[in-house]
Amino acid sequence: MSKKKTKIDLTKKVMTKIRKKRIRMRPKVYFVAGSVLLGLGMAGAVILAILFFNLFFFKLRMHSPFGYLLFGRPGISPFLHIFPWLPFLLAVFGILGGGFLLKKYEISYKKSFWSLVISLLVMILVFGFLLSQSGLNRRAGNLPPLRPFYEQRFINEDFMVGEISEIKDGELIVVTFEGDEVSVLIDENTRLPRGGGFEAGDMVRVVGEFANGSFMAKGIVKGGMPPAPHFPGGFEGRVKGRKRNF
Amino acid sequence: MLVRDKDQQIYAELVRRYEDKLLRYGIYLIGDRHGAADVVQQAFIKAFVNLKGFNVKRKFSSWIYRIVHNEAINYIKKNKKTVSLESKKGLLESLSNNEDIEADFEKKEVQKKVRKCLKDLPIKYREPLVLHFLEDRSYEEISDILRMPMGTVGTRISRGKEKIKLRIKEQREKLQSKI
Repeated sequence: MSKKKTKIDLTKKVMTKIRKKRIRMRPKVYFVAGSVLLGLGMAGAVILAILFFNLFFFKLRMHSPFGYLLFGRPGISPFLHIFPWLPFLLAVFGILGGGFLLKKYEISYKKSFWSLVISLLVMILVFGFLLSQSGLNRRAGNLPPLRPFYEQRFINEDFMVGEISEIKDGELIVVTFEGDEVSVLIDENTRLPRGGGFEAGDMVRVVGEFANGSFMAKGIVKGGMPPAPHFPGGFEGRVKGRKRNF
Repeated sequence: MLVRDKDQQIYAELVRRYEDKLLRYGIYLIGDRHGAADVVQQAFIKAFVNLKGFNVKRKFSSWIYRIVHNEAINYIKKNKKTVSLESKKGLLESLSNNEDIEADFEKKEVQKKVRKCLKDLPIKYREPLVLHFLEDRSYEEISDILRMPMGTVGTRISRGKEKIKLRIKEQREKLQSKI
């Protein structure tokens, strides 16, 4: 048998298949649309990441979740509750999406891919941080579609935030953002990580637990929320939480 | 560009021009002639379908090699085949010729040894070695085909060569111990 006969005639096979199955070329517009969508996707992922990192940094600054860790173990649950998980996770999702789409570009293998990713990440973090320092969030928090992103519960079974309205012996009367007056009981075991010296009008963060209509404080610290004018939309109507009957 | 605007006859000419090279490349990757033919055939059809998406500023050869690479990887994954390229007959002949591995590591000698030892190499080393030494592709072309940085191409070729050297040495020692 000659070599020619055993040779696989690919040309014939390929062209026969193209003709028989009527295989057509994809139109140019298909590829143009693909490029446009890729570009939009990439831009969208980056913008999403910047906006959500902006929200993340803003909420970190406004709500100071790390402050709860001053209380030690009792502060862990409030910290987890207050920490802005959703914007953080959405921002990370945007970064991962951007990284995935970046691989579709030639530059991702012409240059060091990880250098590109790190540069992108730094850019997103910087812009997100700068945006969080601007007045954008104050305005955005007032827009009905965006309000849910800015709302926060400041009362739960194991912590609360409010303003001291009255100081009694071993007791503070704290008014929450919902307008509830809560009796906060202090004893010798109550941790004061930043010392005492509380006065009426002070904003406080309290960790502990509700019992018999009062809140048994395991720790109290000043701060926790900025004064109302700095909070998007002001004091009222921004707090989610349950009404408590004492 | 000409092909896109003309009919299938011109594409047939393109296929004719590349079929031998791509078939050889496919055989090096897969180890099976008929499997390689299927892979290359599928690659040509995919190239035809996506021809209008080809950037004419790039090299067509790099593009078509990339498609064959993708199809070969899919084929390997599907069939979970390990390469069974050549028999060891040639390897033993080569070893018995008293070659000095270090001294004659020039391109033609590398080609001979690469062919013989490819079956044992993981595909990540096999591909760049095949493309560079057997298909005469430049590092830049290999970078475009395999979509990896040129530095990585160089590293993999270098490591692939070391592995082949090591394998040849091991085989030689085995043969000498039998003698």
